[in-house]
Amino acid sequence: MKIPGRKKFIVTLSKVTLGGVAAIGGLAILARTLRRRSPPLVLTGLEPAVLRPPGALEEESFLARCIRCTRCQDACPTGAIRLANPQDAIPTGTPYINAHEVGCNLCLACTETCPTEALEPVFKKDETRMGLAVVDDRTCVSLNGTGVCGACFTVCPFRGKAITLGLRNAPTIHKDFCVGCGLCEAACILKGVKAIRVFSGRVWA
Amino acid sequence: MRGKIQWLRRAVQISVILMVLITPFLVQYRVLLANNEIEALRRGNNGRFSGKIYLTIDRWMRRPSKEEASNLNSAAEREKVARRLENVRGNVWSAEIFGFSLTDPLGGIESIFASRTVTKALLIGMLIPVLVTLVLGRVFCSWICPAGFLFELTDKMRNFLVKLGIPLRSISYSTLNKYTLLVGGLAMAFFVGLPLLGYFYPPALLGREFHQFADTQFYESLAGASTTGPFLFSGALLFIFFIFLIEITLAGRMWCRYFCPGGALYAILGSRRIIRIANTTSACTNCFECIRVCPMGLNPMATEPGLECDNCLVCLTSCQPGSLSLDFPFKKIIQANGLAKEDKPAQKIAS
Repeated sequence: MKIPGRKKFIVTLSKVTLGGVAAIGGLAILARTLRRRSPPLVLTGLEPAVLRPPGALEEESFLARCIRCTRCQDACPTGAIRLANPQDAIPTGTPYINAHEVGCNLCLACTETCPTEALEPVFKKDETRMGLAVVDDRTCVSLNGTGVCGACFTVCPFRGKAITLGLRNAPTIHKDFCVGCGLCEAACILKGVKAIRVFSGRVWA
Repeated sequence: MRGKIQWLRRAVQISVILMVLITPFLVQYRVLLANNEIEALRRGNNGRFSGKIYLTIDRWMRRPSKEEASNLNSAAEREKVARRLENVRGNVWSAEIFGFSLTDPLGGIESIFASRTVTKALLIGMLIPVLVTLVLGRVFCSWICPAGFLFELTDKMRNFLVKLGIPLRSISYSTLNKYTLLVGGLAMAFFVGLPLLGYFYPPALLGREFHQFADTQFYESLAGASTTGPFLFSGALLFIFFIFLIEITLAGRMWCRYFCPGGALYAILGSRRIIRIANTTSACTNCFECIRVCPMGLNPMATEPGLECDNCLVCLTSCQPGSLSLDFPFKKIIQANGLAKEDKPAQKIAS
């Protein structure tokens, strides 16, 4: 009589299968919620797409490789790299740079410490492509004729190449040299929505 | 000597927990220190919790030491301290300790499956943990994992509640569940392109959670106002608390025994481990104490300790007759040459 053994086997097998199906189903639901995309890149929109640390791959590959280990944040000496919280639009735990507050000073320590090369090693500061700065000529003090500023030019690590100043310190961005570090956005003298903002992605690279 | 093993294990676990708890704040403090923003923080501190954390760390860092009065006034000294604080980065999921990159094999394999690429940095990071697991077995679970330490507390609580006379259920599931979860999670990672198991893995959750917490506290302390609203912690701690409650009331050590995908991977890696628990059976009195204390619910008296054993050595410590011992190759040769001292508690009991 092998029936008890067989019965036990069938019960175990069904338990395992049910557990597996439940687990995979749960993972699938989680995957759907986590795959919420960052807002589409519209230059006239109010919020720029999220800025990733230097050396980051394109969004899709970056999210695949990044294991959300927080090491890049620990390596950042200026506190520019922040971690997404669950209420944010990007997957929780992934690093981003809020250029509104602090820009990246391109020390590239995060690319050295990244364990998965989700932030690929970048060896020269000017080879980084995090995004592109865009000036809003309606709000920029120098461009709309209400004053003379040039704060973005002063902090730009590639001033003269990435940003040049024109009449009354009106900034012009040169996309071949702009690395998208966000220092200019952090330095912009406007409160609230800044006149110069960094849009992420390698679309312009 | 045997009793001290467990003290050593507790010491390692507690130091890892402290690392997970304190590292994020130390790292953020380093940023404040390097940018000379401590003074501004002290002036602008309005008694918020976020500011207090960093001011407490600051007071602690400036305490007068015997060799030198480290008052952190000069930029060079601040730089020195900041460099020192940089030595430990990350958490248990992936850490950089004194320049050594250590990545959890689960994280590494997930990243490989999700991105369908293998990178050099990842292999270097996984090297030490994988080698340690191949030799020592699933020691991450019992010696390092901070969540494992938390879940070990549930065993104590269960014993306490049972002593009080509260009836507790102890459901057991199939240990195959965790392998199913591992394979399913890796398959999902491969097809979805996201490392999903990292959101289910308590040690990773703990580390990430405290980093996110420190991050929000850091920016609150600078802004001087609440920027996060009520979301201090995400659902991760809730998930761990949920497991904690279930383990206390329904199923003892449920997560580690039956559901942990990381534990499953470590078990597979450590299945051919060199150091094992072995029962010499000469002194064994069949007291079943080792079976009672085993956190994984195994039978250490059996000749083959099996896949699930995580070498926590609790059975070795609790074995009164000294029948259980650590078995490794060359042990017989070492003993024959008289290099290893055999401790014989059995004779002590007899005399």
